[in-house]
Amino acid sequence: MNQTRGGFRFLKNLVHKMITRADRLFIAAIFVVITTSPASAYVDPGTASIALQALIGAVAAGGIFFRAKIGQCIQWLKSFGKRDRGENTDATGPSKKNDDN
Amino acid sequence: MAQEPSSFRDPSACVYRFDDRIFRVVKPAGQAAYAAIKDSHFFREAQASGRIVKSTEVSRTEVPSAMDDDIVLEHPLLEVVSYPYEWPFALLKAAALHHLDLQLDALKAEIVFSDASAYNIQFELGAPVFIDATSMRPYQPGEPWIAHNQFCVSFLAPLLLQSKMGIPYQAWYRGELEGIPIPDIAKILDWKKYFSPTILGHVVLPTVLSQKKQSELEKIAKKNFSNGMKISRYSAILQQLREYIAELKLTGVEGSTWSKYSTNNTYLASETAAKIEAVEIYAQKNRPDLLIDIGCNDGHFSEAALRGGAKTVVGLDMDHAALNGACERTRQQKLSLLPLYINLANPSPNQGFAEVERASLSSRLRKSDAVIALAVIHHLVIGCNIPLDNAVDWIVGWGRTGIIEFVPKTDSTIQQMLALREDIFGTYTRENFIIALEKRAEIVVNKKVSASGREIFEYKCHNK
Repeated sequence: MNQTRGGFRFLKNLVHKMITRADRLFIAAIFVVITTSPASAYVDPGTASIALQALIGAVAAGGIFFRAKIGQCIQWLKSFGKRDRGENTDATGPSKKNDDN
Repeated sequence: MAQEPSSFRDPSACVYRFDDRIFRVVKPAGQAAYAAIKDSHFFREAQASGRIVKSTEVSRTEVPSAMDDDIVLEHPLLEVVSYPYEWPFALLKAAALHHLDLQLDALKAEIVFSDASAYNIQFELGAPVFIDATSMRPYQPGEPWIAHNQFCVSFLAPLLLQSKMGIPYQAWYRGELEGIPIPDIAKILDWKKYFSPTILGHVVLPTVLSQKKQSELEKIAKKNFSNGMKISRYSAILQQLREYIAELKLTGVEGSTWSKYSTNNTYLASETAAKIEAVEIYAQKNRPDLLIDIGCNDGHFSEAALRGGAKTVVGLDMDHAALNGACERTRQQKLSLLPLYINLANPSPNQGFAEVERASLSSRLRKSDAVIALAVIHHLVIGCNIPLDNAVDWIVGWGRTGIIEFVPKTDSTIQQMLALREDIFGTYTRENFIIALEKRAEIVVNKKVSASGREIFEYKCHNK
């Protein structure tokens, strides 16, 4: 149970670090803009692109970060599997795991 | 010495051409940026590896109109200039990846690109080369990617049109010149495509926002950038686009008429071998600098010409799957072949500002000295209703020497084409073909290449 709470806290801290306060204000502001009806003055495409870049940059960076983490998890799981089959000479054995609680 | 017609928008540099030499005059406005990047490891490595066109500083006396405070660079002449609206999918994709890779490497050296125009990339030996040596400048901390929208219009949107919707972009791109507008691609993509973060971030959101009030958006943009944009996010956007575009595939062209032509046509293997040998011998004899392969399909005859001794071949075809095969062949064997999407009955005209900015196909390929037109004349005459004499005249105009394959009306392909049509092609005969050809050239060799009566004619033009 504690592990799950710890896990959630870890994820929450991670998300807060990746999406800063400035980003959250930005997302809120953009949401307001999106929900208003179209205006007659059109935006030059550069403005929309530049206004959005911090946000899409954060999402892109997050995507890259999470993909890297998932890759690490997969590697960890693979090495775990190898340990089970006794292939890895660095095996610490199953008993060590049970001590973490 | 003439200023390049397409080189007029940039106030800090412009390109001149004199005979076979290309000069870039860098005005004082652009010299600080150039000086800052020219000695960087990134720029040197990119030039050495051929990713950016080589530039050598030369005396300003080489360009008569250069001012005392100008710097003059010389670049090697490109064999062939082509435009993004002529590139098959594989080439536009390669150009996009090339641009992003350069940007990513440059950003590590705190250098950025001023624009993201697809016209700044050309192809040599099948590989993309970035040709605007003065469009790089030092990175200002906190600045966003100014050319992001241009990249999306010039590269991302056309690739999405073909890859996600199976719709070719070339005709539209030729009309719009700058690329495919983002709001238009947003309307075309069906809603199921919206679930990709890349499409959401680069197509959908910008489209939604671009319909809102400018002043509101500017306020948000300014507030958001009071601290500047982190370089890690700038890099992440480039990386995300790079990974996304690398996965895009050519779709919508499977099972096209010509895609399996190499293996599934009306020739026997021995007949194809005879044609390949004839092309090789022709190329060996003439050693052309620039050969045009009209109706190049997947490039198997272009490759034979290169093997025989042609220096460069430009292949023209209209079938996307076949051109994809030609691009793959070029890439795998590093051939000096440039396959282009060209409608033979409607090749690229002069266009752009004052109708000179983007030159016509024939003016860019005017140095061609050889042409092969195999299994294509019947498509021009019977398929496109072009009179035989006009078709021969157009083909022969591409070079001093050439090979044309005449396909007789009894051939099964033509019989199929006429199956549901009235045969109004009474003048399409071998005799009339020879008359048309001999009006303009001397027939050097002719031999039958198929049991159905197809015949190749190697010729040499009069007075050339």
